[in-house]
Amino acid sequence: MRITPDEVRRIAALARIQLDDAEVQKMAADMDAILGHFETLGKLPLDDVEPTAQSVALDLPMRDDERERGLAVEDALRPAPESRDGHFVVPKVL
Amino acid sequence: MELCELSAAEIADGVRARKFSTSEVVGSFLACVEKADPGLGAMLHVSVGHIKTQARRVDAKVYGRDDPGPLAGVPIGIKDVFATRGLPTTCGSKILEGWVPSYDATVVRRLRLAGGVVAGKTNCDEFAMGSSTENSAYKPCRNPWDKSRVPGGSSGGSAAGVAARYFPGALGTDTGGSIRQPAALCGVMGLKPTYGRCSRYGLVAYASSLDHPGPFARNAQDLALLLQAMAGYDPRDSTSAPRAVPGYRRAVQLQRERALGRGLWGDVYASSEAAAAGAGNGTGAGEAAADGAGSAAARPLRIGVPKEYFATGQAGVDAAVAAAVRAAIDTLGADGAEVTEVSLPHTDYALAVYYILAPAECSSNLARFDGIRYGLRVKGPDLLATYAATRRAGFGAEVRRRIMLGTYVLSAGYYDAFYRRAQKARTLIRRDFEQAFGKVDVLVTPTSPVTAFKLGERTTDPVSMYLADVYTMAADLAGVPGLSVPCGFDAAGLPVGMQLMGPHFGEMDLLRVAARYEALTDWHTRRPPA
Amino acid sequence: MAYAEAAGVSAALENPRAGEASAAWEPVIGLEVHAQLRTRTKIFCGCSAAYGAPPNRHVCPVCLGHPGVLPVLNRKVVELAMRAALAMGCEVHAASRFARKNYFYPDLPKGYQISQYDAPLATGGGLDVGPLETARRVRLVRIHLEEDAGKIIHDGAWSLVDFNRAGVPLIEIVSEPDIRTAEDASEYLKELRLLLRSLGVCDGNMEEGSLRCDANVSVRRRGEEKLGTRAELKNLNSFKYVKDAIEHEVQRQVALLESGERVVQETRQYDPGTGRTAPMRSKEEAHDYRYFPDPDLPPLRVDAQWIEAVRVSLRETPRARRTRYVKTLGLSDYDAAVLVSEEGLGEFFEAVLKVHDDAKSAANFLMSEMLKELKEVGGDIDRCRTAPREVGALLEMVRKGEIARATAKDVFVKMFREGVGAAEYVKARGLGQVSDYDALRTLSGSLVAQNADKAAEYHGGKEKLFGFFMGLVMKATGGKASPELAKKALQDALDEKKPPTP
Repeated sequence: MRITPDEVRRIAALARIQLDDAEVQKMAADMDAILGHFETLGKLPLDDVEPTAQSVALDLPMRDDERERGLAVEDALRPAPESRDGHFVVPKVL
Repeated sequence: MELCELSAAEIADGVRARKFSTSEVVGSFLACVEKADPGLGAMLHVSVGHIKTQARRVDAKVYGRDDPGPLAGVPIGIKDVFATRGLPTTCGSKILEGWVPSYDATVVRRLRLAGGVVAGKTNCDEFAMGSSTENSAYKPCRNPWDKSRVPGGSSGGSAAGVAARYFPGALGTDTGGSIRQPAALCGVMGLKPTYGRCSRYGLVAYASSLDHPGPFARNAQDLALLLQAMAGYDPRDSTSAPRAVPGYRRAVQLQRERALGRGLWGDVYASSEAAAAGAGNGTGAGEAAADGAGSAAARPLRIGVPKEYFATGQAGVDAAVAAAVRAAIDTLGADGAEVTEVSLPHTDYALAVYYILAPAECSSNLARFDGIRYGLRVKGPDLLATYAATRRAGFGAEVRRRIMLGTYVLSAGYYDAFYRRAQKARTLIRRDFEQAFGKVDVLVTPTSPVTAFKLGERTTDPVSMYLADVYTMAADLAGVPGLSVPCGFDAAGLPVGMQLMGPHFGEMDLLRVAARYEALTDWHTRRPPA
Repeated sequence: MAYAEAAGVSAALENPRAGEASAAWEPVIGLEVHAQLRTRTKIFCGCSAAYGAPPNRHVCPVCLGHPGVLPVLNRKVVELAMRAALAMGCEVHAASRFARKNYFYPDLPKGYQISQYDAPLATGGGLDVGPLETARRVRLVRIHLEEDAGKIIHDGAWSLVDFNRAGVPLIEIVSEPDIRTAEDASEYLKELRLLLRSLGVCDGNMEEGSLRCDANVSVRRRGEEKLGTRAELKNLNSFKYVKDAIEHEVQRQVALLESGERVVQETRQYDPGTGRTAPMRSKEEAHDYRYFPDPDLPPLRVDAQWIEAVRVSLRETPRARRTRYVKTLGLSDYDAAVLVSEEGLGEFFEAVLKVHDDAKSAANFLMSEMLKELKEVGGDIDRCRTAPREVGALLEMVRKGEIARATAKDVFVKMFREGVGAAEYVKARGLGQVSDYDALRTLSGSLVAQNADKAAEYHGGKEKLFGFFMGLVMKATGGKASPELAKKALQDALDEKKPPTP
């Protein structure tokens, strides 16, 4: 398994994490080393094995369609870095 | 002796009997933290106002007509990944600096309802990612037994705080070993319950299918007391188990006096009807199990020793650790337990499975930290740049690494090779445990291959850090409960932990074995140097 | 909306192949429709799902994606989705699963949307569209549950985000690429909207975004089996936009292919102003949603009993009702389509029939008078203050000649708006027709006598003067005379005065 710096850049873009060139190199090396440990999995015969998403089998509970008290608008906006006129504010969306 | 050094049971009894007040207890805690924490770094947020308000509320109940609850006046450290209403919750991360939740995590709410006092937020690896608490964005936490060493992680602050006698109990989370490993390294008890036993609502998710909230304490009874208050179905967590909670506390008390040679083990309380009968009041099935020595169904406890956990070699177990755990197993055997060697053949795959699944879930769980609704924002020239700059500045190196890894294994073309294969291998690991628990009641292993290591010793090589959790990850993947019990010290005087693992919802047997073991030994009473 | 739909039905009947591209090229169209479910609360939290509140009033830690919160599924969401699925003949799966669709956007609080991916709630099924005689089947791929995102308002260098809509429950209904004309795409959407409204699953309000449509459009040479490269047209939020956008897109693709160029697989936005589609500004990187099962939500299980309970609670679909009106009541397909197109109108019509069993007459009256009134007040049939049995009684009075048809229309307006009783109102206002032959005969006799010159001209062969005399009769009776009876009485009076033939 070899992770190229370009692959790291592609993943960083997907994950919305800014990395400078040195960090890209370091990340590629780290990911390479970690992925190396995953190769053992390739040898396991897994074709007939069901995947486990949840370790304890549970059914999905459901709630009734009933209102619950939410947050007042000022409480919703208070932790926001920027807000205006009852809205959260972000730099212009492309 | 300071009031905060008492056990949880002693504090609750004293407060309820009006021997001392909750205000006095928290006063003692605050004094202790003020004195010791600058050198330890176990606490991230302690609010004098917040803690005193809670203390007054408990005391009002004690002197009024309301039942103050089984944890009356007990200060409890809360790992900073649990939402606490009115108290900062940062997950040890810069990206959440200053965030004060509008709600309490369910387990925190339940501890408060039981009379417990949220003492403060404990230090941890950022978003619970790490095994040494060195990944805290605020400060490292140190091991009370040797300040040049780590307390383990990620719940290092909770373990260190309990070991340093700040409080008798604390909350942690265990995703790959983050309760049991620091408990072992700090010489305290830590319980990772079955997946679904304790609600995850309000626990800031790292890896949702692997995150387990659980308690730390210095003895089995306090551990049971805390679990009793925390456990149970929560309609706000769709993965919490709709099962009654057995009476842990009384069963643990009884087991202290009974040998492991004859008793009711395993499925006595596993059936939900029996458990329901004993729910809430500390009696019933749990008690019957511990008290069943005269029953026809009584038999010795069956202990399995998985050989894979005693392998030596580069990533294998340290000799001193192996020796201490072997000695502990002999103690249990001498008390009447049947000891057999078993095999968990897929143990070696746990690391790979864990480091695919946990980062994958993490990459998605941490996507909400985008600098829009709360938390840090670093402005860039446009939206994309703002996202990327915020997440670069807000997340530390290890968190970024796991987000990258998780994004990679889920991305187009790699999902089947990594994520899906890991999910399948997870099934094999789960089956290993099912098969083992067909033959034995409890598995006993070292909790960690090594005792506490030096700060900085493993920070440069991520994989060496990951290997610190190599004995604890499998229980998280399988969702089975695990409990770390102090079982000795190495030559340097550092604590060694023994891990007990049981089948799903088998916390009771683990607590009973821990209770009996602590009655036979005194490791858990040792104190770190002042 | 009923009137627009009725008009649409009419257009389709008149020109079922409108929008066809050309003889050489065949359009291939599949629609993805998002329908907001009619629940009180959001899909995963207890916040109101109502439209139109001021920004960020229907929010809580869960739908704002605060750290630590978890989703809990609203049972009603599953029930409504099952209703839609069963009404369209889909297979509802005993186990389905929620997945996370990961992408960053300011309106998406968690950085992922909870949706269903590889294990949707329902698959298969379909919808018939167009006239009954020439119905076209549009098969469905799947129906799945998901949460809506918030809303972004662009404001100069900034964007403002409102999360009221975040977490509102949606079903996505994905069709097979079975649609061959833009007109049929629009018809499919109308039929779907009608069905979802009648099931109480979705209010169908396209202006408010309760029903949204994307279209996958490609073209291929007729006879070719292989599908061409498709473009995805986003946010076609009216029947007209659906039709116009697809028509334009088909023309664009045909023109490209005929000039030897290629169609690019991309997402395009329709601009109703220019009537053209244009590529949406491409995102910085290709989509890679990294779907995986949501670990916060175990598999959704619906047992056979629940599915059956929903199935038996289903009402007759509008399409089935339309078929019944044609087959058993003898209505035209057009009339039947109009009657089922307005929520509650079909039921009203059938209740009228219990009193007045002339289906054609009842249908005509409701289609003209009821729809006119509904349009006037701009509401649905709940605004009608009279009961079907009263309307039936009114139509019976017309049939028996007790009141004139014109009078009935006026009386209906009063009934609709004020809830007056038909018989009481006619009686109180003296609107009953003069239906006494003898009285009309006497009146006609005196009118003929007073206009003897005109009568003579009539008898001299100027037969259109009959109308002149009818006018006099109606004027004298204040329009209440039964036209049939008046005609006979006048004829008899004129005949009596007729000079003997030499």
